[in-house]
Amino acid sequence: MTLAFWNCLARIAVLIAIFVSPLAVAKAPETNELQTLLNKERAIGCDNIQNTLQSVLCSGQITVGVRTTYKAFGQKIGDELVGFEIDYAKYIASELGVKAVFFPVTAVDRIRNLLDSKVDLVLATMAHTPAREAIAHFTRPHYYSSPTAVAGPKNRKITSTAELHNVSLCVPLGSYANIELTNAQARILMFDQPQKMFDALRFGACDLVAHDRSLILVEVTGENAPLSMRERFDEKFSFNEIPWGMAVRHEDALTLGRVISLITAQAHAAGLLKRLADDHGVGTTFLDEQREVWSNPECYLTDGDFSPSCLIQAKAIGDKPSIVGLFFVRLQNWFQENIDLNRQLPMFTGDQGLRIFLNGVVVSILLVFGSIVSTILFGLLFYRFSASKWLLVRFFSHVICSVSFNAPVILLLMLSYLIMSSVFVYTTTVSVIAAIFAIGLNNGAAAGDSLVQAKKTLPTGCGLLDASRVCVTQIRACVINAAKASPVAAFIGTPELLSTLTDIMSFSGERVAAFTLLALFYLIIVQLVIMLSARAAQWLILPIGKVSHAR
Amino acid sequence: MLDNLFGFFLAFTVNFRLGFVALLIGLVLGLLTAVIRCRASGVSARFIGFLIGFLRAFPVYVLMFVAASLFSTMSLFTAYDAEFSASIAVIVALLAYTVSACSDACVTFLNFRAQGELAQAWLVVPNVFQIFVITVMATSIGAALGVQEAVAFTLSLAQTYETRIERIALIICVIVFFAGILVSSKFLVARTVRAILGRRTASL
Repeated sequence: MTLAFWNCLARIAVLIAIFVSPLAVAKAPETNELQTLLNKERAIGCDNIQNTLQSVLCSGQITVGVRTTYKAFGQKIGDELVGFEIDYAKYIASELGVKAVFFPVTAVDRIRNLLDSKVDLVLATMAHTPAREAIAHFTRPHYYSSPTAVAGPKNRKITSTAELHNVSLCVPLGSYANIELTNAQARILMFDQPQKMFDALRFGACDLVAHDRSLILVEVTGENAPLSMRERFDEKFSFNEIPWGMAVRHEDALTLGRVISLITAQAHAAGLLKRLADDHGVGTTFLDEQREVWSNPECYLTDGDFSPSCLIQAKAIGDKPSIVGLFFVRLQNWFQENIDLNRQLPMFTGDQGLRIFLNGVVVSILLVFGSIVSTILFGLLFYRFSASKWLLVRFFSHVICSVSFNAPVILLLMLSYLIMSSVFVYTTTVSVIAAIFAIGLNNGAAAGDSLVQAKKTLPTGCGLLDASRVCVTQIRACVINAAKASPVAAFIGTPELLSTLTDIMSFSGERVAAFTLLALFYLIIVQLVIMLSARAAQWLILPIGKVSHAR
Repeated sequence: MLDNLFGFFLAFTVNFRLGFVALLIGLVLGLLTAVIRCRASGVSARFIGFLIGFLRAFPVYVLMFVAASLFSTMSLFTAYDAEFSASIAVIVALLAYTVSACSDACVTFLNFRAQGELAQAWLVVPNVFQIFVITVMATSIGAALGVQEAVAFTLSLAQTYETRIERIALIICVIVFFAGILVSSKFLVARTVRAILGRRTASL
């Protein structure tokens, strides 16, 4: 009995030693380092505040930028903020001996709020990329990591990004992972609030949804997701595992940044982050790995730094600078400094942004031109068939003309898309041709109808030219409508300007500049068509003027 | 089959609702701008003329996306679900058409009324009805933003069909349905116009 008791006690002691010893070894230097740093800053006093850490310690509060619509991570329920990141921010504040004050941020404005000093720290589901690192300092070790997961209806078979062509896909605004999805030519629908995105998936606005797996698990597919969601949807595939970091301003890297890094290493080693994740139903694969890493004394160097081999590097998924990038970055800065206009121009500054923007411009111009030409050709075709000597041809021409003229262009586009994609491999060229065909058919039928009606008002012997002179206004309206309808081609995945700017916005988050550019482009194009069609109409009517003058 | 038909007609009521709201706002703004175009002179009339021309030239589809983005940027309608803000974006986009078309129709109405041509003036009623029908058809662009109207319903239904032929057949059926509605409404308008003008001729 006594022997068994001592044996049992010895085993417990060994177990405790196994558990505690790495923590003790690991924790001791960093705790000392943390306390030394904090004491040093406190010793300076509050009369001469030189950095954010001193300001935090003196004011007794740290302002943390957090998400408020990101379930399980940072969510506002009633008046209270709850989630993994909220609890971790509170823990950081308690380690600093101050109170945490929360400032709501979004994926688009989180870094801006940090640079504008509205927050001291950003802890808001932010992927650590070199592009972001150039703007703000990311503390390491990372507190979380997640791949992007794609989820959708269970009966939908999709296994990779290669199969996303022309699939409607709901994505979060401003996520760099969207670059990969736009490369796959998915039809992007953007949302700045995750909840709205999942609503859209629920009511069928998009075929699939792409988001950090952490949130997909909580909202759609995981055990804690609503039953109505996990019954209908499952995860298709995931890609692009990327670490999430907390960010401080560059000038705070060695003070507040250093303190946050020490606290995070300690939180990993002690298993605190894993416990918080468990409390909120957040996936813990990464946290389990990190606990093991930061429990290893080899990760702590003698000078108090962390071993580089234990730290994860930022993942380069952002856009590379374009050849005209520098000029446009300067332009952005000039606007910001001189007229306080804070807008990004990712369609010019980024290499991929510029490439797909130019592609969009070219495709749009081709589409407008093609739609106008096909409108005129279809008009002539219907006019010619209406005068056919065969009754059957006249009948079918009339039926097709009436139906095409009165059908919603979106349905004609879908029909054209289904037919074209059954005959050809669906490429950009095929999508442009399909769109030109549908838009031309819709407006050409109207033009053809006008020509036929005009012909009826003319005496026998009058031809096409006379009929077109009579209904020149209607034909002009059809041509202008064809130009105006061309952006609808985005619906079938044609990479015209609306579609490409949507892609750029999805990963850059800049909507105002993109939509201003888009609206300007189409206004100029339509005005050009209005002017040129007026010239063409004048030229067409001119002979009538001459004839009447001669009479 | 019957469920799908019921679902389709239910979704079609969304088209009607959106079209009706867009027309109602378009009529109010159209009448206001028409009065300014007819009565005012100088800068205000020129400005309204320019505005109407601008609205007429703006692609409705692009405007819909601009509106949706604007709502999101300005955090409007955050208390409602995604479909609500998408529906409002569709209405705003359609206003570009309804305001300009109603304004033109009202200008014609006011001019004929001023000339004492009441029968010609009242042709505004069938004209507005025609604008309403076109607007209802145009609400189908909302499918691109995920509004659950008739076209979105059709496309969702088509996705559940196994073969491409079935999908094509479904879309052709819906195209014919839409075209049928437009053609019969045009016929109705033409008959109304004839009736109005016929009464006028008889009174003379």
